[in-house]
Amino acid sequence: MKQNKLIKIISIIIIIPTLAVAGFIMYNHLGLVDSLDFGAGAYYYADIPNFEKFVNSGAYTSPVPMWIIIALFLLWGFIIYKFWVWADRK
Amino acid sequence: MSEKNENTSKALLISEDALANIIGFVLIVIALITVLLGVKFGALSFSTWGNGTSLSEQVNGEFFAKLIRTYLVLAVFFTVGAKFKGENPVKFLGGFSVIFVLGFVVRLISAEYTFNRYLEWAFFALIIGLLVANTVGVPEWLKPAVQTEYYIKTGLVIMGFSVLFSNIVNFGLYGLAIAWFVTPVVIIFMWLFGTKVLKLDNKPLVITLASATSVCGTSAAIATAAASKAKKNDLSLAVSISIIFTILMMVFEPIIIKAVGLGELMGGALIGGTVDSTGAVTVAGTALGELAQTTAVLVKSIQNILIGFIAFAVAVFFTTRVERDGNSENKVTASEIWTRLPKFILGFFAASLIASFIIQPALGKDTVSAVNKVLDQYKNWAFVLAFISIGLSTNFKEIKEQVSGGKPLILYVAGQLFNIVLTFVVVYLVLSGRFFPLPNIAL
Repeated sequence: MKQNKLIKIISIIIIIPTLAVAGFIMYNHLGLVDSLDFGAGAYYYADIPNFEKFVNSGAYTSPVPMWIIIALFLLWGFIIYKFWVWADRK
Repeated sequence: MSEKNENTSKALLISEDALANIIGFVLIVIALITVLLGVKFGALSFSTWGNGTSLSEQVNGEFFAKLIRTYLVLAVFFTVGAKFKGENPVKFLGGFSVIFVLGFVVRLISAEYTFNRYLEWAFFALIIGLLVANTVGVPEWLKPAVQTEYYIKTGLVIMGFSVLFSNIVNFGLYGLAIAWFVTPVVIIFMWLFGTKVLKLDNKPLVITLASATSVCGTSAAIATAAASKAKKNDLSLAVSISIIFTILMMVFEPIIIKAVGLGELMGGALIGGTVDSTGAVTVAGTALGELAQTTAVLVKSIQNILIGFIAFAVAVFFTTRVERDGNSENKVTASEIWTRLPKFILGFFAASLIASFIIQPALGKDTVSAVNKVLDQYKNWAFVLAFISIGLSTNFKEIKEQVSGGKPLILYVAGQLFNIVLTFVVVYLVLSGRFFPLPNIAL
């Protein structure tokens, strides 16, 4: 009960200044880049105007073959999923 | 005889998940064909207006052509789908038309200069739906079209085509370490913190918040909420929290990174791994510099492909553990998993794999990008209809209950702090140049 009350107080302490600061940022147009006609509202990469300019830049060429990266990707995914099931069971 | 007719008509019914897959794939095929033939098929989207740019500048013949096309395409697909779900198509179409008009208003408002740069349309869709539901109320004739899951599942299958697995090599092993090592660890941390420490009973809410925090905000939240069969309010709460904090992180992360002298390479990677929305990542990265922008987008592009895998893993986890109460000693069988697994997840996943390993190698990145430009707006319209439906079927009392005494907020903040710390540690390990050679990034 005491813990729940504490959580409620902490959340109020967090949310009120957060909303106030977010409002202040929006009102004053802080953090924007003039040359970019988007911001946090473009939640997914395809929502960014001319997204291919950013996403398909080919800025980095990996010396590691794709199959190794995919194998590591799948291996870590498998291990971490098993860990999740184990940790949830404990 | 009438029983026979009833059985026959029931046999023609198609499940909502199968319909989402069918509609999604038909739209993907149409978009692909129209791009290859050079025929216009794009849905309506508003250009930014306000701050010196008049809204009337974009209202022309093409605007109305797109508007009519968008309405017709969505109305035909969703109404025919409603018929196959066993619903009255005339009643559905009436309600759908009004929700579409509300969607038009939402997209108009969210294209305003300031709103476009800070808030997502999901925010306005919820607000407008809530305002209607809690003031004039939702009339009976509108209710047949208030179908959150139907729109969300369809939107997700469409979105699957843009989740390009080939992006996994975009930043090589560096990207894999930053995006793929950290993300599931944060999800598990938030899962354990939410269910064991905060003792939140609402597990779909916990996993929806966890994926919004660790993967990429709204899009991941939508996919995970659907995969875990979360309640509509769980999704709206997770998205609202993510949207508000993304504004702060977009502005303050570059400032803090500059202040501590982290540098563009590590700073960009940190932004890419921790800021939720892709647009905010690009802006925050650009604020640091060109190298930071490139690195931030490289990391984020890998996080974007995780949506499908995370949603699939969540669907399997919830099917095999949460929905079976987690304590069952009986081993779940493959057929049980198949029966209970939400099938639209398979459509979403299949669309991603087809785009990544068949269409992109065959037709090239540019064609896939052009198709995704078309599909993205249909996906957004489907999600707008979904979020308006959430607002329309929510009352303010439910929201108060949903807040659960502030626990979801605490979970988000704790998870995001853990995310920032862990991402920083991994970024420092792989990109500081002390332990591994620095990547050669072309600008």
